[in-house]
Amino acid sequence: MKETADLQRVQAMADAFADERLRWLIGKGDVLVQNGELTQEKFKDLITKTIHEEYTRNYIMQQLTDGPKTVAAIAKATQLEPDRVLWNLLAMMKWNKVEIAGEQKREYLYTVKEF
Amino acid sequence: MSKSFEPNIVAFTCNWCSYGGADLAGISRIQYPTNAKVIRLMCSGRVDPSMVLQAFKNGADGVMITGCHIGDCHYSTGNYRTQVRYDALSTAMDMMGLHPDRLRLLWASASEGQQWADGITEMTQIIKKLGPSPLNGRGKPKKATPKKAAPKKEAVSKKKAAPKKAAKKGGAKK
Amino acid sequence: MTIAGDQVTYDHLLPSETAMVIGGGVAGMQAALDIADQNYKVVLVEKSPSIGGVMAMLDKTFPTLDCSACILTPRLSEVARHPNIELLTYSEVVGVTGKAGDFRVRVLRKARKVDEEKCSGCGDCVPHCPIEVPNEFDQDLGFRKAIYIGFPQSTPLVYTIDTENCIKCGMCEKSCDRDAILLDAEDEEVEIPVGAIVVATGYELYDVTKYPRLGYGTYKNVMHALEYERIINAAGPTGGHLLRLSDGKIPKSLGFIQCVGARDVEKGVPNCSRICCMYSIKNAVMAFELAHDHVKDVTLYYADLRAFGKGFEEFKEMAKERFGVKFIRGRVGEVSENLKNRNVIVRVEDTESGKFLEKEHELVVISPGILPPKTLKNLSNHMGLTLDSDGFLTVENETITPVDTTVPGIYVCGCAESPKDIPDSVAAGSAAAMRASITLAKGGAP
Repeated sequence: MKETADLQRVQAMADAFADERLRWLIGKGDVLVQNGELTQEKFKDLITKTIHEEYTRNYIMQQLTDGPKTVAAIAKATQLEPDRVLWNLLAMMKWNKVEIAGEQKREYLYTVKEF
Repeated sequence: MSKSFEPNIVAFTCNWCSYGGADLAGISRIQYPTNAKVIRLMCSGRVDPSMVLQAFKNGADGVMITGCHIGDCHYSTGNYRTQVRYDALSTAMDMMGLHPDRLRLLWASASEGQQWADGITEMTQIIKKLGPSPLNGRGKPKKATPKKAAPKKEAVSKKKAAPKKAAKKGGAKK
Repeated sequence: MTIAGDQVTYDHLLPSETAMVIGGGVAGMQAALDIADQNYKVVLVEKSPSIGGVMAMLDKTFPTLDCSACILTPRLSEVARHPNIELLTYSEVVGVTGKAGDFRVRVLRKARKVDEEKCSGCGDCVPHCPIEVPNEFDQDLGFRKAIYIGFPQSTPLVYTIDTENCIKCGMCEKSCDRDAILLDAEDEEVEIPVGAIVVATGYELYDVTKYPRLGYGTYKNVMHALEYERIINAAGPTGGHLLRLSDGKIPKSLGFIQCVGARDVEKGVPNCSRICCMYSIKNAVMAFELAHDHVKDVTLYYADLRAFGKGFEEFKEMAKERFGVKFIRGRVGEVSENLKNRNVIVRVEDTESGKFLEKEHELVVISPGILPPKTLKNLSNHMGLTLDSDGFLTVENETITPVDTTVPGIYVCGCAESPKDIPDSVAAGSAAAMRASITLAKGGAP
């Protein structure tokens, strides 16, 4: 396996695990499975999906810390597919983490949302 | 003699079973590699995923989490949490770009000194084959690390290449 | 009497002065308001968590380009505040017995697991819910949590927990200051006595995946009209920014494909869907309005352009002359993808010139025909109604009693009877309300 990890990616994963959503799911997970609310398989799928989402979103957020970027720029820096980047950016817009700051040629510029 | 790669492994160890096992290994004079840095915690359930990731960020080549067998936890449910966290982390390893074998979970009881030592030995061997972690810059992160290539050949080629590169680097800096 | 205990009863309602409206879209709301304004009582049953129907999802309406939410939301408030209207959302009709003037309707009140009296719609629970799923209101392009409201103007403004995805972790319960979460609530069935029923169940889009040659689902940059509406809507997933889904770019060339899921004998939908030509022209105009610096070419591929209503022909001419929408008469044969840039290539015969065209667009919007919801068949069985070959409710006489169904006391309005645009649906709602009021006034006598 080609190991492509770098400090940024591990930091993104650390940020993902530090977030309430994952901490809660992992912490409460086995209790829920034991209570019968969830099956073990469904729980595992849920954890994998959530880790994937949170990690990708934190990785994308890192790219935005030094200024607004387009989908293409983020896709190039993270080696993620542009449609995946867009999908996660839309989710981050919904949860008020990211907003559209302007346009650059025919692309929108995304930036961290300030409060 | 040129140095071969010596992995830096962090071993989170629970105070009751696995640290007892480690102690027993020591008392019984069992020989095992010295690459593991043991960090003693009261329970393996104390190990937070962020600690494991911090270890990798600081350049650890491998991380082990060791604890009591399932059902034998001193705090009854601690190691169930460890299992869940380890499962989550091992899914995360591939996503980040680290080889999943760099993270290992080992259950060892206080009387299983040999098993603990074997666990450390195995881990060291696995990490030696995998090479240094891409985060600590001791190896060449871009080079693909074949899983089961003959380790001696790898080490030899690295030994030969390393001094050359060092010389080149030294030359460039000046 | 209720089956689930004596929590809620409707015994205080008299059938001689109560009507039921099934469906909370614009037609249903109009019918409810008209009946209630005459001092009769109305029970409005809606299967989704909020009233509003499809009109709440739209951005602008044709031909006036009115903002859809701006004209709808005052109605939503009026219905919610009306002293004579009782709103039963997230509920479905499961059985009807009786006759005109004295129906007994069994309604299943699905458990939304949130106390409607206590929830104030503050949304404190949302950040803490760990489950994220696609938002059906945004046509799966947007996101919601397992505890959600579909859109910010949901009426009633009460959150709903989606039982299928909820893992009962209890985070919402902990974060709610008003103790409004009832994780163990169960579905409840109630029986309601009414004198007249108005069916206003609205419509769904034809499932475009049944046309694999048009690439929906296969190519990222092919979407259907409601997805497009959500994208151009300022309250939608992209905040009103027009972009394409493969890479977020602003498309400079768009294509609209008409007569998909309508006027197609082989697919079982021989009827014309009436509104698609007009809504597509409206969508085409909106593309220019939203991104006039970048959108250069918008083409509409049609079989016949049906611009029959008041102001429709003028709207079409404006689209052609003022905005520059191109109209090509030809039903699109096939759609393929340019793998380099994920552009969509449309293959069509221009029947006016006889030439085969292969036009490359950056975004293609399929305009599906409209159909009644799949649940209408079940509902009509409960009430003894019949559906015609197109799937819409049959009326007693198409010419002279367009809102009376074959069962006395039950009336139909809106798209449940046939495809209609908004003004026609509202008119039919008022008509059905009048017919229902007559039934109530006469006590069910014919």
